[in-house]
Amino acid sequence: MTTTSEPTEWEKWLDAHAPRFLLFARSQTRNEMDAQDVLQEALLSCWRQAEESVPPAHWVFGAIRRKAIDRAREMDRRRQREEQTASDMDWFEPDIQERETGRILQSAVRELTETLREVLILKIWGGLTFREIAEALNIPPNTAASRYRYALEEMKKSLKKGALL
Amino acid sequence: MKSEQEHVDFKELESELSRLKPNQTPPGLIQSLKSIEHQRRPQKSTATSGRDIAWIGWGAGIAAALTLLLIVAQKFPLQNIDPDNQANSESQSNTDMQSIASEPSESLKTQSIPVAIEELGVLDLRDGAPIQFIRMRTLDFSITEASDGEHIVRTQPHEQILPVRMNYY
Repeated sequence: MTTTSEPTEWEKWLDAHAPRFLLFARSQTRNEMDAQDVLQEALLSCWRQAEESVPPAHWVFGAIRRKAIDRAREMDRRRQREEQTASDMDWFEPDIQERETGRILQSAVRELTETLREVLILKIWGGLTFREIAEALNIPPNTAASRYRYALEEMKKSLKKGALL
Repeated sequence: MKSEQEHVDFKELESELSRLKPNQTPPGLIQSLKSIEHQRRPQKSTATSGRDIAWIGWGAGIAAALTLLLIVAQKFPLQNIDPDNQANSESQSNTDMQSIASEPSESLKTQSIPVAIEELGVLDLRDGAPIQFIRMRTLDFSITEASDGEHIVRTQPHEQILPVRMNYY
C-alpha cells in the first residue's frame, strides 16, 4: 500500500537522518548487530513518545545512548565478541579519491575516548547544537563545548603523528 | 595569536571531518525502521487515564491520613480537663492556641502553663494551608485569696490535641 504512494514524512525523515543515527549507534555499541538493534529500539521509543510526526533528532541520539548503555549492562560477556567484530564495522562511506585520508580520519575518531568521541560525532555528523548535545548526553552545555574542543585537539595530535595535517 | 591559529586549524579539521559521510543504512534495516511508522502511538486518552490513576493515589493517601487522624483522635481525646477547671475550659477554644490564659475572676485567679509540647504531624491539604497537630500538656494553677493570705492550688497535668493552621510551608 505504501510502496506505490508518496513517501511519508517519517520515511523522508528516516532517509535523511538514518545514516547519522546509525553512525552514532555504531560508535556507542561497537557491534553491528547491537547497533542496529539499539537504533530500532531507540526509534520505536521516540516514535511512541513524539507528539509530532517525527521526533527531534537530539531525542533520538539520547535514546540511542540510553539503549546502548542498557544493552551493555544486560550482557556482561559481550566484551570479547565486541572486540572481535569492532574492526569489521565501517562507520563512513569509502571515498575512492581520499580513501587513505578517510581511513586515517576514521581511525583517529575511533581512537578518541568515548566521552570525546560521542560529542564529536553528534556535532559534526549529528548536526546538533551544543545545547542539544547537552540534552542528549545529560551534561551541561559548557561541558559539551569543552569536550568538543578536547576532541579536536586530540584529533590534531593523532593526525600530526600520521602527518595528515 | 595561538588561539586564533588553533581556531583556523580546527576549522580545517572540521572541514576534513565533514567530508566523511556516514555509511548508508543497510536496506533491510531502513525498511524495518520505516515500518515503525505503523506502530500505534499511545492515545492521549491513555495519558488522561494515567492522571486519573494519580488522582486515585492522591485520594487513597488522603483517606489513609484521615483514618490515621481518627485513630489518633480516639486514642488521645481532644480535651481531658478535670471538672474543677470546667469553667475555664469552656472559655477556651481547642483550635486557638492564643486563648490559653484565662481571665482572672474576683475570687479566683487561674493560669495554665504549658509544660510539654509534642508535634504529632502535619496534614498537608492539597488546597489550603497545612494543619499541624500538636499535643500540649499543661498545668493549671489556681490562686485563691483567703483571710490568711493567698493559696496556690495546682491541678493535675492534662493534655490537649490542638490543630494549628500553618500559614507557611
